[in-house]
Amino acid sequence: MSLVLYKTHLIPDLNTRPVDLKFEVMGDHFSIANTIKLENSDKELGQLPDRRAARAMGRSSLLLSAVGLQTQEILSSFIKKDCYRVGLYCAIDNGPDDYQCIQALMNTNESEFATIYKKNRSPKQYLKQLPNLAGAQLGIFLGIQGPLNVFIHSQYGPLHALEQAEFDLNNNLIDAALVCAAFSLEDPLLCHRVRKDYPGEAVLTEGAAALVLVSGGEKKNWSELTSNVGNISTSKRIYGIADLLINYCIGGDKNERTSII
Amino acid sequence: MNEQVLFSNVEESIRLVLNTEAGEITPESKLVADLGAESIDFLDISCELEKFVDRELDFKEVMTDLRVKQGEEVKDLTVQNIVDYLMVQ
Amino acid sequence: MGDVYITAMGVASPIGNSVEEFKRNFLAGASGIQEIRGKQVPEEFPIPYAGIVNRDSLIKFKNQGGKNELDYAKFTTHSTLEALQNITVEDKIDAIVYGTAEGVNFDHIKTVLESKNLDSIDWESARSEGAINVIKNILASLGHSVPSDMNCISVNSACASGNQAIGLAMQRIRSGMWKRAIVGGVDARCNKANLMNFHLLGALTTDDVPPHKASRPFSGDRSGFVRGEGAITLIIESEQAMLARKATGLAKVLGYGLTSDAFRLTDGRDDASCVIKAMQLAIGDAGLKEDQIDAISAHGTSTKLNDRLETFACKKVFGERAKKVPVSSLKSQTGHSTVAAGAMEALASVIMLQEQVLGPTLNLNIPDPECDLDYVPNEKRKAKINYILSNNFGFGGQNACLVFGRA
Repeated sequence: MSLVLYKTHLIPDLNTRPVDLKFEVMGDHFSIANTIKLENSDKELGQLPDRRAARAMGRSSLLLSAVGLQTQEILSSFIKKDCYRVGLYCAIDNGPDDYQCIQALMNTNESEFATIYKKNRSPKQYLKQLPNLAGAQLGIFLGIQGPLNVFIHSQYGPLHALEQAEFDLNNNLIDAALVCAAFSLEDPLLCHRVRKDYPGEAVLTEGAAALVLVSGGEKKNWSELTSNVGNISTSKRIYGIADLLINYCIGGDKNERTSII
Repeated sequence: MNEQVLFSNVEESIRLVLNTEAGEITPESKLVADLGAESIDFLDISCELEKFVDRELDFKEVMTDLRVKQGEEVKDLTVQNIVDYLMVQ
Repeated sequence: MGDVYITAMGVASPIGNSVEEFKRNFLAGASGIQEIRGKQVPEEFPIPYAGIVNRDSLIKFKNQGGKNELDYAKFTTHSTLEALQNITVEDKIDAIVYGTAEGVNFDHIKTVLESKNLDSIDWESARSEGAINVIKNILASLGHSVPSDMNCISVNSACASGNQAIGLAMQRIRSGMWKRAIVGGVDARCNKANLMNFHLLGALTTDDVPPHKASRPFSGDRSGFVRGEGAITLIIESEQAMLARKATGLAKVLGYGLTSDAFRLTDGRDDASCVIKAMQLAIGDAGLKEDQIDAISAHGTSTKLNDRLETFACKKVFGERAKKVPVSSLKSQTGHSTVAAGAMEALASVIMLQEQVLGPTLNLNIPDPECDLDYVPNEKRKAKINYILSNNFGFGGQNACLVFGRA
């Protein structure tokens, strides 16, 4: 049994018109049709409790922290009481690789690989890529020391996160759960993959969502949301891996917040 | 490379990595105690600085050198320590 | 509800591509770490060695294919087929929980950039749940029912993923939600880019030593981990489900503890408080006291930091008894297979429990005053082992501990 204590989401204004997205590194022939990015720049999103952190965070991770940090006040009493009994459950794709670095490696001798790789790449780039570090970084900001579960199934990740949070609450492993997800249009090939998953009129849209669950309320059967996978009937938007959670959080209810940071 | 230019390169590298404010870094600034650098940040600073000085910089060697000069108990280093090390190399 | 049992296992690893081969090499103290320069990587590459799977002896499955027969698919297929050998189609699999790595990766990007052709890669391999889909395809091909998507779970907690996958599934089975699950993890990234990624973080050893000497957990001359690869698939099920199909339990999965350091991305807390908590939670979850743990399967990566902190944590958890609790590190033989490591160590724990033998920690060359426990140096040792604590600590500070018991 769980109760939604708080929920929030970050999505582009509903009147924003979709555009075709191009990536310089991919050349003129590559474009992702029908997309909407959030207006927030990476620099704005990078204004975080630790000013160094953004350097090791991809855009999805920045979005995850943007929504996650909005739960700080409501989670603070739980964390203060017992930080091990607050859990964090995320759904997120892995962060981007460095396309410029990979381009620099093209048409070079194998013997030069390591030298060129090192010269063109920040050591923190790999930290951006690892999917669990997006959740870990948010946990560091909030001081959550309970279970951190990062689910990376490209469509069902949020459902896995919700169900695991519900499970941990029902089995008295935690007192509060932060469930969150984020999707960005930062990585060209990831965008292409998601575009292939949702052809036609679906608008690929950046976004993030977070909710706080506590014990109480009624037993939730999150698997009922399975039928919503890929459902664009209402807004025609698809928020990638974060879609299910964003749409759940958008659903009109008390404590609904639409955030523009 | 003269010391002033070298300091400027070191300052810029550290500022980029640690996202400090303009003017915050001084020669006396300690990387850990004052600027909050962690182990991963040293690798990152090293990578940025190598673009200016065009050779590898291993902070472990910088610390070893510093401990020889100032004693084994030294745990932190200043921006000037880095500049001094690079001037000699 | 009864206990949760491991009833089947399959493996592709640097020390064997079957449970029997793995067992033989594990207990013999054999090393799967090989020279990779001039083979997997160029001669001039900064990293000389890694734990490599022998691809020649991997099972080829009739339905395997796609544009590229990628290693993650080959390893997962091989280990899953071995694990499924004694599972009939009547033995319903309720879930798959697997530790998997990133979806879109360096190789995908390089192939597309070079070919300028978006169809030049297998897009199914660009999903993080790619390995799960391989397992689903195998189940379908063999006539098994396939778990629903709700129960096909890809987890990632970096180096803690294997234990997390096993622990999550164990809890669901123990609660009655599931009867039987496929669990495990796969890491097939001993390639140039991934090796460089860890190298740039200063995590790998590059010492000029013979490959089999390179991974030195807890030794005073350790200088970083050796990268490894592999896939391990386990079947875990409730006692009731196991008895109903007259299967044999290989070992029990008794306890699970999961905490987060919430400290730094690449450094653990100096006081190891969250590591200690995870170990204690796992022991408590198993219904045991600390003095009932007979052995530890360490995370034991061969880095200065992890091995020191893990030793410190063991002393805090076990107190004066700590020096009497043997600690083995499988990574001394296989290297570190990150998301698959926990599952590989689970296999090793099962073998130790079945054979009543402690696995060795190789290459304990020089004592380290901060690492002064009994690490079962260099050779296996007979012991009475009822319960093993298995530790995994991941980048980002995720600490996942399991307790295994004799069947």
